[in-house]
Amino acid sequence: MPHATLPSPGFQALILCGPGASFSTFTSTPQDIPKALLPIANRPMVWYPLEWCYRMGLTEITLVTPPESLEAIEAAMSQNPHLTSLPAPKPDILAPKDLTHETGTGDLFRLPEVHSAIKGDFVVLPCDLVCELDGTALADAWMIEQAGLGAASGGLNQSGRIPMGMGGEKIGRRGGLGVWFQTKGEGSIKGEETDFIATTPLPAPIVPPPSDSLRRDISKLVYTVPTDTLKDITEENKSFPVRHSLIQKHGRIKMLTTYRDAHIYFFPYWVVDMIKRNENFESISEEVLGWWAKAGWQEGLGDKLGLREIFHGAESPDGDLDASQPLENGIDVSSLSSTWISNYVNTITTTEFTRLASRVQNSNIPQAAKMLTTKPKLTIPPILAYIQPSGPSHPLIRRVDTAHLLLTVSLRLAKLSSVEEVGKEEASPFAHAAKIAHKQTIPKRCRVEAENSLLAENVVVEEKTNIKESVIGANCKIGEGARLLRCLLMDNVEVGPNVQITDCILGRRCKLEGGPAKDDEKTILKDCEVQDGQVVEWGTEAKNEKFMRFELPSDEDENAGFGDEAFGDGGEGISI
Amino acid sequence: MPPKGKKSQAANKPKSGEDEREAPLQAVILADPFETRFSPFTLERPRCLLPLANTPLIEYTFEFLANAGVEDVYVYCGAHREQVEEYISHSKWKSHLSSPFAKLEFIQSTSHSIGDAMRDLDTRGILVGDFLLVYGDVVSNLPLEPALAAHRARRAKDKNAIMTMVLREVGTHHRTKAQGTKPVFVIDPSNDRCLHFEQMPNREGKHFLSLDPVLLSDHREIDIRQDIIDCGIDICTPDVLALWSDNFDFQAPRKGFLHSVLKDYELNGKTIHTHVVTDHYAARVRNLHAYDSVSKDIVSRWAYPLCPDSNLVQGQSYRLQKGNIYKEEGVILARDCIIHPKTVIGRGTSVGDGSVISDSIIGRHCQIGRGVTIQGAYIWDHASIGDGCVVKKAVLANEASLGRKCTVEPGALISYGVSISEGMTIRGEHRITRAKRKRSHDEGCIRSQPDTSIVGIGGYGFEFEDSDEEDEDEIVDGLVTRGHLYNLSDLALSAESISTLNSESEDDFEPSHQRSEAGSFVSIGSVDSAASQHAANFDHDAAASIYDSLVEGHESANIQLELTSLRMSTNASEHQVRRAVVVSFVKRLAQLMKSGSSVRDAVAQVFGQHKELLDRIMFDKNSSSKVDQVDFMVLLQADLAHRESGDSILLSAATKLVEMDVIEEEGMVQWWESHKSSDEEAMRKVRAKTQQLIDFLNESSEEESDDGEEEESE
Repeated sequence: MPHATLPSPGFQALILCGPGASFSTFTSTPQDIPKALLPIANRPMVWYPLEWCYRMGLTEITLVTPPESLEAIEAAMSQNPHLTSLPAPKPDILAPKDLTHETGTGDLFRLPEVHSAIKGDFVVLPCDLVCELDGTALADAWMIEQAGLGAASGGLNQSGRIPMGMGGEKIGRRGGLGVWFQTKGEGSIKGEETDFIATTPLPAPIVPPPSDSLRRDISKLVYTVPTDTLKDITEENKSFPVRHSLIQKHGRIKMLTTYRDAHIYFFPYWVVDMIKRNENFESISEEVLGWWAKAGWQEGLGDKLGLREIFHGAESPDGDLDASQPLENGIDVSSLSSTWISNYVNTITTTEFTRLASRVQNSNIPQAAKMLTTKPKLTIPPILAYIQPSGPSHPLIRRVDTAHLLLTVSLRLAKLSSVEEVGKEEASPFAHAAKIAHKQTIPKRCRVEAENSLLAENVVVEEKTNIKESVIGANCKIGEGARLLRCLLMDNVEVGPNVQITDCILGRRCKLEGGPAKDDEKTILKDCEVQDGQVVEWGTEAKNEKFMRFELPSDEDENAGFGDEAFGDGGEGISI
Repeated sequence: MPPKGKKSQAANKPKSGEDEREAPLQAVILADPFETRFSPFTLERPRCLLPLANTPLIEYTFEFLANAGVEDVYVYCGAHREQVEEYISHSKWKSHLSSPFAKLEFIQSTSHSIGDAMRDLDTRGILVGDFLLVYGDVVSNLPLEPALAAHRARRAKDKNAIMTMVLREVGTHHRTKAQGTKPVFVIDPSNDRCLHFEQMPNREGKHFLSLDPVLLSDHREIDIRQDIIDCGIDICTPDVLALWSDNFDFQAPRKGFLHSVLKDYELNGKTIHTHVVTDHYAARVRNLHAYDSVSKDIVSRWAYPLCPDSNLVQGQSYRLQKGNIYKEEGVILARDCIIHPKTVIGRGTSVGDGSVISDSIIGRHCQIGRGVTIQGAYIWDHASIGDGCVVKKAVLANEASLGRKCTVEPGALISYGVSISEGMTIRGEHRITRAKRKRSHDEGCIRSQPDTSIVGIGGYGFEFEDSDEEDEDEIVDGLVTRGHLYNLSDLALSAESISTLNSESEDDFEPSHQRSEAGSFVSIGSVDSAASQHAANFDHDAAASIYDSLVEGHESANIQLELTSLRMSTNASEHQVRRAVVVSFVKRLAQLMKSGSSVRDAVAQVFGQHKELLDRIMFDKNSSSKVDQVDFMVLLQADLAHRESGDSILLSAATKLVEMDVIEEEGMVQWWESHKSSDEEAMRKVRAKTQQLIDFLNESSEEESDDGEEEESE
């Protein structure tokens, strides 16, 4: 991978291999094939975030998975040709014993195994992320906007905890960074999950960022809530309330309704502490981000979340080695720059304020007044948002967590030019070596549109087939005269002769029985999902259906009858 | 700058042909915004003629219109029409030779609000095409062509795009922005459509902005912007006037018209757009705070070419010196006076030995004595300041004079012709005038006497009091920001109002909380936590109506009738009724006392006449716990806690109430014992004097309540 020569960006990556509740058709047995191993354009899903990490030079990668899927993932990591081709070192796989498929992402970080695995600043990724955008660019942006001195300060090292404040949390640096992408536009799906976010622009830097920098699209997150929750709020209040304190604090707020959280988070180490302190943070995207964003403008909320203890309390650890040279104040990085007018000036006054407060602590001023003076303003490091501008020219970022998205993203990836066409330099990181693994095996009298299809190894294509905009997994067999349009075939699928399928997803080892071309009752499937190992008999016409195991026994006799006929006619069809 | 004006007009003429625009661009100047924010100065002069950096406000507006290529100008006059006409007729704008305008006309009317003015304009039918609507206090150097072009392009596409507001982006904090009541614009950036408008703090005392969920589902991207100066420049179509006419209850252009039209988008289908500019200068001198900051902007040359040395008015001869000091010819400065930067001094002004002037604007022919310190002040023409005075952040109008060794504290306003005698100190909240209000029920005879406690013996002027002001539901920015009006209330946020961690649904729906004291002068009495909007209006309306009745001496029964109907229509609680009564009674008391009556007389006059009314708001005569009476007394006590000599008023009021048997002895004692009356420091303080009454009541609980009289005389 290209960045092997660069120093490590100082992050560790956590890839959360979650359940995949929306893939009920394909992930019914998580022991066997967990969501993370579902193929997207013939590669296991988890390959994409792993590749993303290696591409940006992250090598300290931890896969977090429930114990029941551990075996399958371990096996895949050592056997799957795509996963084994990833560079060394291999990712660690962590399967905390209390982790189930129902555990929220927030709870996950409170599990002792996960908690102790995090040693410094970290990146959180979902397993279903397809992100063409280079992570280095994001890390760059984070470092410019948020990194403190010694980028990875805070956290654990051999001698114990590294004191907080060194990186600048006290002065409002070292916040987080998240990524949001537009769901509307080309290839959008109706009803796709979206998040409602509100952001405010960062103060304009004196030196404008270069035109290709992501910093142009980075703003500060001030509010986030999934669209469903937003609906609840608006239904309850008959309107959407926006607090005045938010508007007071930020003169310009942009609210976006069609973007979605990519679940790529760059977090400094203290976020783990915040999650640990707040037991009711169930998920990262909703609670952690939501509360953190709000704490930035709601006076007092930061205290409620225990951030004061996290930032300021860490200074008096019990006999810590590093604390032997205590830092009086956090280093205000911005004050070291001669070109940056810092808006942290008030922190200087607040620190004085603290000192004053400690001197007058024992005097008999009223309690309320004391409360005011002893609590200096708490500066909350911001959570930044990279909002990807919409437009076809921008790199692809998608979360693949529904069957429909699986299909569209696979098909979109299938359109990428292969390495053999454009060369290694030009090709997208997700390009395959070749669109059709074995070109020579494709018979002459058939039509396979290579520019928008992908055929994996060992695929057998018989004559007179028509394959358009489809992705076909390894070891598949496409019978004579079959027509495939916008389909996704996982491994070992058998499509019988003269079957017509459009917009379908076929699970592993499933079989669509074929029949003669002239038969009146052909198998025509549209918008269907077929579960692993299913057999769909000849003559089935279906639209928008799911073929799953429990449906199997119905109408067996009837179908069998058709099947016989179909085979009989089949011979005829071939002869013509 | 007449040459520039001409040029731009000349440049615009061929352009108008290209735009297929036959009608010349028309503009309406609302010379009188029907507000009292510049009181007491506006009692004698129209607002648009007040000097801003020694140039009348309306000059800036004309300059702006001339640059924008406007041809026909209609000046809509309100109060002091003669003065405006007189001034403009003699200015360069009216003369045929130098005026860039083809037409400059005055419109006279009897309107009392902008709404009336707009409806009046509609009936006159003089505006045929798109027109500019500006106020007589706009200061701007921005070119309007892009905004006009955008407006016309939108208009060509969609006939329903009826209005374009020109707004200037300034950032979250800017001195020229409105400080008290801030406008919040909700805009769809894809087509610049304004979706929602609200002011904050809002009328209902709510602490959040309410967005229609439809907006969220219909628009992908929404900007909520408060980083904007609303400079009051609107490009309107005649449809706007029609809309004003259709809705006869619209009064204010933003919180009335704009808010309602946007809210009723479903009904009328009209869209209003914004044009946000990021460079050039644009501001409105809408209140004293803005007056201060715009003056500073002009002196600091932010509004270039609108600055003193451009000499906008004929006969001016300002020249710029180092450090933004502008001096006209003929300024007489003593050798050892010090003029600091950012100062403007007009012709004929003389400054005496050892005086120090900084950040100030001084008009023509002013006499400034020796050893005077002037800092951040606005001294208009012909004012005179005696030796050794100190004037900071104040306004001295024309011909005002200060005797020797006076001190004028920040925020004080001294109107035309007022004279302050030697050695007086004028505190920041004073507004001193000589003019009477032409109002029927104002006690003119009392007012024409100088108030020697303020202006000193031999001085002339009295404290200005404006009854209108209390009606204003916006925070009006004074010259000096008195505390952090709004920020304070943020501090007072109770812990509950911070988002709760557990209930996600309640998140962002905070209980409206008590405003802090500083904020509470916005409306009379702060709104109860659970009070609905209606009930909130009740507080305000009821208190105002009772107060008016008290002033005009209506009968108790009539007041009672009106109060009942108000209460019914808004579903207000008994507690609110009592509060309204207390608020208005105390206000009347304060007014009477100010005009010279003693505490006792005032109490007798206000409370004595309205036993019937008081009886009808407390219903616990027959029960043993006198909840209503206690409530009434607590309210009275709380209100008086912030008044001058509240303790003695409370004593005599309590005595009177017992004497009238409105509050029974038990009620009084229960009140004394209730924790509400002794919780806070201020509350304890104000009731201290009433101790004697309670002692008396406790002692002679057997005796008749008439004996309260004796107690009072002690």
